[in-house]
Amino acid sequence: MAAAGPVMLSAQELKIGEPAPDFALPSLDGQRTIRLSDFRGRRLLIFTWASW
Amino acid sequence: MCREQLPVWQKFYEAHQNDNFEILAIAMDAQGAEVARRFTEAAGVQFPAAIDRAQGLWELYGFNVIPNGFFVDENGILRYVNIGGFEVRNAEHARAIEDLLAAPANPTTLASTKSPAFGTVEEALREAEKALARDPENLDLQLTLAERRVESGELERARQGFEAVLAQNPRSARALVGLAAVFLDQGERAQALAALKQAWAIEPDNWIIRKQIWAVEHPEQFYPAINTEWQRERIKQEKGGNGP
Repeated sequence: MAAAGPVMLSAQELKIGEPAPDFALPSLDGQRTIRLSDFRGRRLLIFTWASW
Repeated sequence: MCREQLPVWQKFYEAHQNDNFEILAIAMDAQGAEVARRFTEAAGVQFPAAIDRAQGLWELYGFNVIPNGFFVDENGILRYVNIGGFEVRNAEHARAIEDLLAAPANPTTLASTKSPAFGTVEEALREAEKALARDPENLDLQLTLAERRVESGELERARQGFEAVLAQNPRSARALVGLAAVFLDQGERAQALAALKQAWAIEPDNWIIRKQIWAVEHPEQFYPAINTEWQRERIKQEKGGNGP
């Protein structure tokens, strides 16, 4: 997951008001890698879902 | 159901396109991007969409159910978390996001009016290789590299990577789900299911793994339509859990 940054091996306690942990994931078209940090300067809603 | 929210989020996105706002939809489908893409395309989704097949995000963000919402401000600060049951058609949830968007920008912020630019999958693979070379014993980096290999279609090397992690930590659900993704891409459905079931045994409260098993085992109950009655029966048979 997080290619850069601190090592995280267990579930993190997310805290409001703290930096959101960065991550890198492939785009659905398979062409790009999307990082949370790419959205810096924009307000972002992350919505996690699945086809099932 | 998560996928039914996509067209509604698209409308929400259009309504807020002048609010320095982006949505990132992350599909947790171990089966791969194709199955998820059918629904984003049908919904006419214009905002960025990603996939987390091996589902390392649940470790990083600490969730074992979906749908979830996380709001991150211009400076990367987490402002809102809603785990399980996050729903755009729920007026209270939608208003929480509207309120965050209505708030004036932090004066110290580096507001950007540009859409985000993303790197390539190839670059991410090289970065993951370099990161692991600097810290070869790090299991998190080993998993990250194996996941990058799946994305790049290096399936055999990805499989070896996940197996190497499992040799060191047999209880790594993330490695098992990653392995399942490799097997699914290789057409080895039985092996994929075995890996997913092992992962579920390690994390019995994890609804994402549980429903992923159902979708691989019984795709006819999920595509084209989701059969909720079948799911209720299945939960009874599996004796446990309080429902997704």
